Amino acid sequence: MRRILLKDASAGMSLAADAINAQQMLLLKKGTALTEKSLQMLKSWGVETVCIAQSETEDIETVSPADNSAAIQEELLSQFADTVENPIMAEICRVAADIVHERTHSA
Amino acid sequence: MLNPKLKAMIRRIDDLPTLPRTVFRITEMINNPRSSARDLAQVITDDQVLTARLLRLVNSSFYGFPQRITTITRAIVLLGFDAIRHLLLTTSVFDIFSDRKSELQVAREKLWDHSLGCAVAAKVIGKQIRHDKIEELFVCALLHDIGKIVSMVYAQEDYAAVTRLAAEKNILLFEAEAALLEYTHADIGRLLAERWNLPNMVADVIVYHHTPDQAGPYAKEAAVVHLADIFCRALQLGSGGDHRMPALDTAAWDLLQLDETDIAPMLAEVESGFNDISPFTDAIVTAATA
Ligand SMILES: [Fe+2]
Ligand SMILES: [Fe+2]
Repeated sequence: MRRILLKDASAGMSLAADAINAQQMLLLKKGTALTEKSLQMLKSWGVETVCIAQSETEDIETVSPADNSAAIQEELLSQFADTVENPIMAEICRVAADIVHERTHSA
Repeated sequence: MLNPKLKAMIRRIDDLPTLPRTVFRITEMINNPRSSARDLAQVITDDQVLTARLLRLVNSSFYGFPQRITTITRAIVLLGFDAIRHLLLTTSVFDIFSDRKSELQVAREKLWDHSLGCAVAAKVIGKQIRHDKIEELFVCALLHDIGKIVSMVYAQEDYAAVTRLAAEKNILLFEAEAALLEYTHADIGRLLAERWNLPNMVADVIVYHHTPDQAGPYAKEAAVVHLADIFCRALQLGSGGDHRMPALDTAAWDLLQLDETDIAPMLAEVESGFNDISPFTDAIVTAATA
């Protein structure tokens, strides 16, 4: 895997490690394929670098498409993107992400 | 001066099902400590449709009473004043959401869930701040986006254009409305509230749910619904037609005097409260279509 600047990442690349921001918030799981939307989302959450898989053969566990909690999580994070400078909103987002995650996993 | 499009809209509002007068007569009655179950039953039985539906509801599996309830008086004794009023209001609001004329059924169902989620959240927040009118908060929140329903039913093309713009630019629905139509669902809500003679508190919360700092005497209630709107969006309960989080109005937050540590338990309560109420609304749907 290779760590690159977010601005050099493009849609279609796969994450070789979890994307985490400076506040240690998990934004995207490793194995997720990047999209234009998720790149935008990572940017607005202040992510500067990401680890991407170097080749298609590189052994990374991919997120199963059946696991739609990752998609929901991504949606949530992109909704909140430009409001989280407010600490209250950041807290709401953090707690809600946990609850939504829990909900999709127990269902 | 009223926007001409908005003016045209007013004329169509008369076709919308209204909140039955009965609901307000009942509210007054419940606020009067001298009224009895018999008085309340009298008002309800004056409205045959409501009576039939209420009986279907109280006999639904949601309540699970062992024997059949055949009179409104009995239902009131078993369920209590507050529960009955709550039921009547929720079913009446549901009627407005289930207008079959509109083709945007999915959008409408999502909006119903958004409204219900917001109503549950408003109750949770109300309890936390020890508000003395928790049931009213529930109603305010249930109705806060009622203007969107009017658009969906009577200005479908406008509504479609607005949601498209909101998605394209990733902006809030009311921002898209303001840009495209020069009025928002809060403006339509204001007209509806006037037409229906809604209590001032409900009307003001509808009008100011995006700008709670302007709500004057009901600033606190508008703040509750503003925060409730954020809560139910955060929990992904239904959808109000956009995919953006409104910025938290910090003055509204301060007014509520909540602590950051209150957020986690409140959100957890909204989640479980929404799950608890779902079978109740299923019962409403069944009673409405039976
Ligand atoms: Fe709204
Ligand atoms: Fe809303």
